[in-house]
Amino acid sequence: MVEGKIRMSKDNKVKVKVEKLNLWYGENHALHGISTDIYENKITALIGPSGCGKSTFLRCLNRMNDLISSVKIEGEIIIDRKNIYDKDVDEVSVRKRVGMVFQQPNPFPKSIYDNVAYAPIKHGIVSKGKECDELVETSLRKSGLWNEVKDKLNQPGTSLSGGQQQRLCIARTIAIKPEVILMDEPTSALDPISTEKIEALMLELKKDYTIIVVTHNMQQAARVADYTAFFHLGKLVEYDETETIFVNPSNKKTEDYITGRFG
Amino acid sequence: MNKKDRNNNNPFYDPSLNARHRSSKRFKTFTLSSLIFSIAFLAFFLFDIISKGSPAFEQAYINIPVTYNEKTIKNTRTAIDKKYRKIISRAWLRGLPKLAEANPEFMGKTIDTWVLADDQVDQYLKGHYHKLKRKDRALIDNMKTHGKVELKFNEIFFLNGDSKIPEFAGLNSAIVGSIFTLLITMAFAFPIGVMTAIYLEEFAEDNKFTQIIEVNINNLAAIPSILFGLLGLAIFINLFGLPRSSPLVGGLTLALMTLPIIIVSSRAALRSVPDSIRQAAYGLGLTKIEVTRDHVLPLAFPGILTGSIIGLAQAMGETAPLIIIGMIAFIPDAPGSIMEAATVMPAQLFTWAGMPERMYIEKTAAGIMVLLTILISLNAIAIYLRKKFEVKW
Amino acid sequence: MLKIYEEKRNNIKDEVLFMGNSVIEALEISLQTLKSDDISALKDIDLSVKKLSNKSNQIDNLIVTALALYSPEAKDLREMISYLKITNELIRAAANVKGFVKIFRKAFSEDLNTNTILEFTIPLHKSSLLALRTSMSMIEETNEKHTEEKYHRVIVEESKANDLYAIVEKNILKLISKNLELSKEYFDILSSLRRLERTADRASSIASLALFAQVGGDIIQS
Repeated sequence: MVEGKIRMSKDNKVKVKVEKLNLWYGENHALHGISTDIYENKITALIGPSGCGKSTFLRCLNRMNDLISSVKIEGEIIIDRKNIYDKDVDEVSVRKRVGMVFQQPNPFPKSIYDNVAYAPIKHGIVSKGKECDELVETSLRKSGLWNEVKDKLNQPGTSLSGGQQQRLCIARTIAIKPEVILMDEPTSALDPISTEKIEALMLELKKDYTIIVVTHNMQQAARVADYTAFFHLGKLVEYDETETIFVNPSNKKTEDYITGRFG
Repeated sequence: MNKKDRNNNNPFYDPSLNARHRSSKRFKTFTLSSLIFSIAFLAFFLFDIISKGSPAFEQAYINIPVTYNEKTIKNTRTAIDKKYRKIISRAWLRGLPKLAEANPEFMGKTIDTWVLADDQVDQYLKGHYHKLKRKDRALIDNMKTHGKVELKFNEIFFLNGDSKIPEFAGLNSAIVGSIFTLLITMAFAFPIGVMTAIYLEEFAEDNKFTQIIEVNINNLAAIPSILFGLLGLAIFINLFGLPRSSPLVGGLTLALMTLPIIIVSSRAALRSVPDSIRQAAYGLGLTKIEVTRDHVLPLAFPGILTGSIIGLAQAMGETAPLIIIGMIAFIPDAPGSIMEAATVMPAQLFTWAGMPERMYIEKTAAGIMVLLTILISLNAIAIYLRKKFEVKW
Repeated sequence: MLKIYEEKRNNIKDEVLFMGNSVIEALEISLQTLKSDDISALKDIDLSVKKLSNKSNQIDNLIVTALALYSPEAKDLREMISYLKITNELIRAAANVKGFVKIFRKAFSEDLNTNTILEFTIPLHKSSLLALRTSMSMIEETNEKHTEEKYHRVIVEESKANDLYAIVEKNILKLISKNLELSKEYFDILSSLRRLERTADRASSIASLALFAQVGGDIIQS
C-alpha cells in the first residue's frame, strides 16, 4: 500500500513504470509487489534502512539482477511502452539505455580515454578517431572532469582521486547515451567536497537524463531529489514529492525513519 | 630519585609484561634459527654441487703432431705416434676424416693439433681417482712442463649428445629433447588449461556438478607423477600408437600433469579480479565475451602467466613419468623432430649417475648446475613478466 | 552552498524585504502628508494587513520547507530563523501603522492645537520611519561592522521615539486639561501616536533579529 499524493502536472511524463514487481533470492522474498512511476528528467531518490530492498529494486531496472542465478522475478517494468522483462527483450540492449553508477568508484584499469571510449565503440555509437575523441571530450565535460584530465587522457583511470574516479565512471556511463541513469549510493565512499561536486553534477544532469538514486543519506535525498520513495522490508511504503516526504509525510513509518527513530 | 621511585611515578611501568616480551623474543629466535637452518642446508647443497660440477666445464687437451694422409684417414689409429695412443681419445680420432675434409690443405702434412685427451688423463690432471699407468703419467707430466697439456673450456659438454665414451659425452641431445618436450607440453597445457579455467570461473553455474569438478581438479594436482607416465603409456603409446620415447608423447604426458596446476592458478588469478570491474562492464551493456576478454583477462593475465611458468618449470624437472614412456634410453643424437626418440635433461642425469666411469660424476653435477640455472632463470622470467604486466590498482 | 538552496534563500529574503517595503512606503507617504499638512490624504494609503498576513504565511511555509530539505546550519540557520520571526514583527508593525493612519486621520481636526501636535508628531514619525528603514536595511547588509552600527542607530532612534512620545503625552494631557470637551479627540490622537511609538519598538526587534542572523549570540526580542 503506497501512500502519497503526487501533484500530477501535465509536465510530468512517466519514464519508467513499475507494476507489481516481486523478487526472490532463492526462498527469500525480497521485494513485495512494488508498483510506481518514475518521472522523466527528474531525480527520484530511494531511501530506507539497510536491507530494505532499495538497491535490489534499483538493480531490477537495468536487469543487473539477472547476473545472479538464484534470483526470480515476477511483474513488469515498462520503459517506452515495453516490458523489459519480456522474453524477446535482450538484456544487453536494456543496459545500453539504462546506465549505472556504483557505490565504489570502479574505473577500468585502462587509460582515462579508453575508459570512456570502450563501450561506445563496441556499441557502434561512434567510430574510432575524431568522432570518438569528440564523444570522450563531451562526456568528460558534462561530468565536470575535462579540465582536470584533458592533459593526461592516457594515464590509467585508477591514477585519479576517489571523487575524480567517480566522475570518470559517470562520464563513462553517459558516453553510451543512456536515457536513465541509476546511481547506487554514488557518494557514500567519497569525502564531503567530492560529494558536493557530484550532487551539483546530478542537478545538472537531470536536464538531459532521468536519474534514480539510492542513498542511505536522507539529507542527500532532501537536497537533490524531486521525488522520494521510502522502502521498508521490501515494500514501497510511501512515494511523493520530496518536500512532502520531509515536511509532512503521510505514513507514520516514513516519519519515524525521517526523524531518526529507527534505521 | 632511585629506580624504585621512578617506577612508582611511571604509570606505564608494568613488570608483568616482561615475561610476555621474553616469550616473544624466544619465538623470534626460534623462527630465525629455522630460517638459518634451511639456508645452511641449501648452502651446503649448492657448495657440494658446484665444487663437484665446476671441473666438468674444463676438459684436458694434448698438443701432439697429427699426420693427415690417405692411410691415416682410413685407419685413424695410425695418425698419431704409438706412445700417445693410450692417452688420447679414440672418439676424437674417429672424427679425423671429417676434419681432413673440412681442411684439405692439411693433407699430406703433419700438424701439431690440440687433441682431446682420454678421460683418465683428464681425471689425473684434475687430481681425481684415475687408472693411468706410471709410464703414461710420466709422459703427461713431461708434456705438461713443455706446455703441451692444457685444460680448455669444455665445448663438448654442450655440443655433443650422450656417449659411452666419457670424454665425449655431452648434454646437447638432452637439452634439445627437453626443449621439444616442453614446447609440446606448453602448446597443449596452456590453452586447454586457461580455457578450462575461464569456463569454470566465468560461465559455469555454481552447482554440485561444478563443485565435484573443482575437487577433482585439485586432487589431480596431487597425484604422484609416475601415474601420469602409466596413463601416457596406455593412451598415447598403446592406444594411439605414437612413437615411444618421442618428445610428442613425453610432452603430452607432461601436459596432462601440468594441466591441473595451470587450471588452479588461472582460476585463482581470475578470481582475484574484483567483481566490481565485471559489474561496471555489464552495467555498460557489454556482452560476456567483451567483459571477459577485454576487461577480466588482461587483469588476470600476470597471475596466469606466473602460474604457467611455474608449471613449466616443474615439468622440466620431472623424470618419473618420462621413464615409464621410455625416455630413459641411450640417445646419442639430438632428435630432429618431435616424433624421433629423445631424452630429457633429468633423465640424462639419471643415466649418467649410474655409469661406472669416474668422469660421469662431475658431468652429472655439472648437468644439475645447468638444470638449476635454467629453472632459476625461468622463475626469474616469471617474476619479471608478472611485474611488467601488472596493472596498478 | 548548493545552488538550489541559494535560490530558495534569496527568494525568501526578497519576500521579506517586500513585506518590509510595503510598511515603509506607507510610513513615508504618511510622513509626507503630515509635513505638507494635508492630513486628509492619509486615506489614500493602501496598506492591507490581510494581504501581508497571507504573504507572511507563505514565507513561513517556504522557510519550513527550506529547513526540512536543506538542514542549514550556523549563519544560514540563524538567517532562516530570523526571517521567520521578522515576518511576525512586520505584521505587527503593519497593524500599528494602519492603526496610526486610521485613528489619526479620524481624530485630527482644526479644532485641536495642531501646532503642538504636529510639532512632536513629525519628529516621532521620523524616528519610527528611520528606525524601521534602518532595521530592514540590515537584512541586506553583509558587512558586520556596518550591521552593528545600524543596530545602534535603530536603538538610538527607538529611544528617541520613546522620549518624544513621553513629551507629547505630557503636552497633550496638558491640552486636555485645558479643553476637556476635546478630550476624546486628544486621547485618540495620543492612542495613534502610541501606535507610532510601538512601530519603533517593532523596528528595534527586527534590528535585534537581523543582528542575531548576521553576528550570532542569542535571540533577544523586545
